[in-house]
Amino acid sequence: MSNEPNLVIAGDNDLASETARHAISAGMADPVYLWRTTDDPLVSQAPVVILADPPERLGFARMALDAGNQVVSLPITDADQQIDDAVTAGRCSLVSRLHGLPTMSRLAADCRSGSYGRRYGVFAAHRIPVNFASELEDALFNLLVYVASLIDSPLVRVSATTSELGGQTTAAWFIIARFADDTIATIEVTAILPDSDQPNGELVVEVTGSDAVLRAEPERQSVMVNGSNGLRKFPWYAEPPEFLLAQALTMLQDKRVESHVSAMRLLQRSGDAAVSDQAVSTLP
Amino acid sequence: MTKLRAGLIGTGTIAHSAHLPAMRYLRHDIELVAVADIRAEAAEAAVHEYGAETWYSDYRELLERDDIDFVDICTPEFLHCEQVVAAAKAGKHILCEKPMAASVAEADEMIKAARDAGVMLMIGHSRRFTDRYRNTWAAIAEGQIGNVQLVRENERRPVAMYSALDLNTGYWTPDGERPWIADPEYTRGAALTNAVHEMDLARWFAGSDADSVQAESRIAGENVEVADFLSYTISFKNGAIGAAEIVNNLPRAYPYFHMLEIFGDKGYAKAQDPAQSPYEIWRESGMSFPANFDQLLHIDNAYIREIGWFVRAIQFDAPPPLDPWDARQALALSLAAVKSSESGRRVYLSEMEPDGGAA
Ligand SMILES: NC(=O)c1ccc[n+]([C@@H]2O[C@H](COP(=O)([O-])OP(=O)(O)OC[C@H]3O[C@@H](n4cnc5c(N)ncnc54)[C@H](O)[C@@H]3O)[C@@H](O)[C@H]2O)c1
Repeated sequence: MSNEPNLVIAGDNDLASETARHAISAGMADPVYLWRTTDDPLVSQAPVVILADPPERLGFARMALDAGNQVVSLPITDADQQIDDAVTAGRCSLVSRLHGLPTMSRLAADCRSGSYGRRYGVFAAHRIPVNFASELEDALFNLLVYVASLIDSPLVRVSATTSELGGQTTAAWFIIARFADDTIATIEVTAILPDSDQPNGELVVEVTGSDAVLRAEPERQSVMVNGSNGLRKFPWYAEPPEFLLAQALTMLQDKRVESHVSAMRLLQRSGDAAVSDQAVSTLP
Repeated sequence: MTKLRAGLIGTGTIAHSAHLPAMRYLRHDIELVAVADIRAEAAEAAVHEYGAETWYSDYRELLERDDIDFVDICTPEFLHCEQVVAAAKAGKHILCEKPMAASVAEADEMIKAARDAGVMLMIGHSRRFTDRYRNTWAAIAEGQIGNVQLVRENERRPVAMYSALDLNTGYWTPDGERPWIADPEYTRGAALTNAVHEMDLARWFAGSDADSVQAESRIAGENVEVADFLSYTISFKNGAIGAAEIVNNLPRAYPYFHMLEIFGDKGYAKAQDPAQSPYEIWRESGMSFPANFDQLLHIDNAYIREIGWFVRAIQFDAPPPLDPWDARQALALSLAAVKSSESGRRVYLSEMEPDGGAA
């Protein structure tokens, strides 16, 4: 067996190192190269899964694409022609942290198999406590990428309404996205729960179709403690890296370019729509 | 207190399922004198089951009677203006189903006709009269959740919505085939069928008029030619947001689903039908909710209250429990959402004014 890694995991955080460890121990990939910073060389031609913190993702992605590697990354929001071209060419795809939740990964798999018949719409809401407002954008980007992964059709139009909800900074995003096959996605991310609520907040994703309605609300399976620390929910899962990695590996094989391009456009154009206060057309 | 003598126009689905039973319950206050419907069988069923003296196929004959104090109009919205104006001219007080009309100009004409004739006009936004919504509103009014920042209302219904299968009359099918509720010649789809309820509630809970709305809509099912799917975000003048996803054509086994969430700066109020059913049964064939004891959408006493309070207001010469202006504003909001979804842009409520917002 050669020592050439068959997977590269990029990032210097717990998620990256746990995922690398899991990839090896579960036999999903071995050997794995944990590529901690862009100061380190990229020593392999193997696919790169970027789990780095948001500001570092673009640097990793550029370096990997320059070296000719295939890339799967957590949301990259910077407008960048190289990434744009790579996503359109199927060399780079986007994965959401939400794919790491077992319920959400199951919903995504059921969507891929088309178990709802003709698709009508997707409703997705993620609410977090007010004092976690600084994490709003990250939650938004992950939800946008997750929603796009459920829809294999080009994004046509997106409108966005933002609100400070009485505070100083943006605390709420309301996005309505229309896709070429007429799927309408309704996406809401708000820092609106009382501070006593748990940091993960509440997540619900529903897919409506002619044959079925799928509804995922991961927090429903949790132990609830309402005590001196306020309401705390301990979900029955620990965000196992297994699911995130499995999704990344699926994306490397089953390239749904359409949905990755949509994910990228959603990330890029939702902001434009919010600034212009008008719906933005996203077709070339 | 003297009984009021009533005439009912349009003896279809909502009349048979809600208005006529409520009038029977209120029989100590109301005497149902006559009904009118262009479908003889629907009108005759009302006479037979609810004891009206007589029926007419032309509502104008009903209005000619001078022994009727008020009319209850339960026809589709494109007929509301004509029938309300005629009833006002005939000197009858008027309760009229939602949505108020097919256009804002028509709504204004109705308000003016009632004012000129000195009769009461109320639009039956029935959800304002259910316990759940009234309790929610009272909690907001008492300041329990602080200033309202977001009203999220998602509403979904199964395909049966467009066939009225369970009801004895069935929808009116003007062309003999497709119900008016699915036909763009007669209505505008989900915006007027149910979003207008949600918009009315959102205005009520937010305590503000809307500034603008952004929306997308589509035809999802194969049995309709009007949008049966609508998603919208309302920006209210006081900064609150109202948002909803309305889907009306889901698989037959799908329950009536309703999610109401109101977030304020001090707390929130939430309710959901039927996922939080107090009693659920799982079988091989799937899940059922045999006893949703208090469904959010369940009408129970809403129409008794709606009609009963309307009648009391007439008897005591008091203002109607629901000002027609509110219904007019909810209609304007619904039509603005239609316009936004058709044009792909944000629509300001000022654009919906008949004078184009010049005033
Ligand atoms: N408040 C609520 O929650 C609620 C619920 C359902 C319906 N509605 C409203 O009630 C109204 C009627 O809806 P529906 O579901 O009962 O429809 P429907 O088709 O079942 O009933 C309409 C009736 O009007 C009759 N009609 C048609 N033209 C007429 C005319 N010129 N004169 C007299 N009668 C005429 C039809 O024959 C039919 O019997 C609509 O505005 C609808 O939006 C309100």
